[in-house]
Amino acid sequence: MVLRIRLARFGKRHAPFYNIVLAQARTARNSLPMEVLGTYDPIPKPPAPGSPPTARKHKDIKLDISRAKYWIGVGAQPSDTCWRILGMAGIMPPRPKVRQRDSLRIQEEEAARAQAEKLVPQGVVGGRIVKPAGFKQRKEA
Amino acid sequence: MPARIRVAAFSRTPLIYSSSTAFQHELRSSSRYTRHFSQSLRSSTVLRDQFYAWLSGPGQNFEKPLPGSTNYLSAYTSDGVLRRQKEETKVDEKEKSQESSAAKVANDGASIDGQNADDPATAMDNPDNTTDTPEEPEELKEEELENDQLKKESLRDLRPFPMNQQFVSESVLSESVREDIYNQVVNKGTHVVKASADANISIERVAAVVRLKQIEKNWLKDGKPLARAYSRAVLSMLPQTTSIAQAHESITDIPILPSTTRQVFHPVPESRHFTRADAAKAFSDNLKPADERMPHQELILTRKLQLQGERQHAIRIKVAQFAAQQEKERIGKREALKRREEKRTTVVAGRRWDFQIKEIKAEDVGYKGKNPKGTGWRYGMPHEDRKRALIKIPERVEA
Repeated sequence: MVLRIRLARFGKRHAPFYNIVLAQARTARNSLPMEVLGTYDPIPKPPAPGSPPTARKHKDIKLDISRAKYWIGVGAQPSDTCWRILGMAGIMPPRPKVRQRDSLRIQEEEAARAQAEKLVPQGVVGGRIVKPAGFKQRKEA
Repeated sequence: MPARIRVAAFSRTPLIYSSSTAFQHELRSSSRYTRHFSQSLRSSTVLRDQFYAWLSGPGQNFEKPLPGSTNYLSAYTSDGVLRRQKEETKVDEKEKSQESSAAKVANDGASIDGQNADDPATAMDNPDNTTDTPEEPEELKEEELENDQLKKESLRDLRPFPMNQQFVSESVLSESVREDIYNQVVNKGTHVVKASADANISIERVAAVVRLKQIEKNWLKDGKPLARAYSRAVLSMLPQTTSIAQAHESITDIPILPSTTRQVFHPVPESRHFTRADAAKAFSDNLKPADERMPHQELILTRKLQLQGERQHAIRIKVAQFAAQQEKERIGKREALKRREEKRTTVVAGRRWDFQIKEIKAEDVGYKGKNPKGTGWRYGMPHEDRKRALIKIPERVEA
């Protein structure tokens, strides 16, 4: 079965808190995982009192980087959110943004189309022979 | 509907009526004509009568409390005389009688001793009383009486609950003392530990006073209303420490740790010096000796140097050096911890907030997955935040 690196939601109503876990893909979300790799607190925390006024809010992530690397190395598949987190931690190439993904998809589709046109002979569209303009059926003798 | 008459519930002696007429007679004769408003029997209202008698008699003291005094129930006798005042007049009368009989001055002290011995509570609570009074010149005492100044409350007068003799109302810091502490620490830059030692107030309390005063000042600046009337009312009911020179509390107390509460039978050779450090070792290997656990290390050093016969000036220099060294170590430790944390953390800037990624060890959770050092929400353990008798208020402030 596929191993996934994914989030397990804990915390309270309106106060989510996630464990970053390694689990079999088809097990329940909050079931006992094979390993807890870290946590993700999605609620932004204000900067500590006394910090400069330019200080920004932050979200806390805790991660065992070496274990995450190992599991990725042996084929564990991260969920999209975890991919984003692992990308930030430098374990995986960052997940492309939506716009990038769209342009990538368009490029891929165009490339595929060009490839298909190259392979399929002229006049064949969808497996049906299209008669070229000015085609006249030869009269049978 | 006729008024309901409750009899059995309130009558102290069980009333047995042979007929309903007798009952009616009883009602008519006792309650109906004497107290028009009440349908209760006379016997059942004795307590109420006593209560009203108390309200109009000794209870008057509490309706208009003495200014500058705590006015607890135990400070008055049952017939409403302030105990302190009564004692003073008693002493005065005795002195007068002694003067008339031309008794010796030496007898004075003895007689006062005897008077105190009559009241064991005073004798115990006011040990100073016996030693101070004979030494005071009589002229001074007369002056005091003329000024009509009351004695300070003794321990006996500071018990707000007469049935609970163990509870004694402790003094709180007055407004002026709190202002002084704030000035010392914030405006003059005195270290919190030194301010604590100077004012005889625990370090935690000094820190709390400074923090709360700062909040108060911020509120004043922001134009927020303060509950002054409430503060005044509460302070008027509590004993107060009104000056920094007054000793507020013991600052040399050592927190009692669970490892020190057991009895230890630790055989030691007679020839050996068994120090406080050894005692700490005997309790637990991780326990620091009492000298190191005391919050005011510099006071110990001062005393040690005094016993060694050092000069006052030299002591002051050495203690200052010691305090500076300790402060340096403390700051160094804090900085080292901060550096270590920073080394483990990488910050990735996001669009609206940063992501702080802190490296942890997944193995810390242990074989059974329940080690409290581990990271993450625990499995198979209920969250106890709604359990009774657990502290839910934050125990520490990130600052």
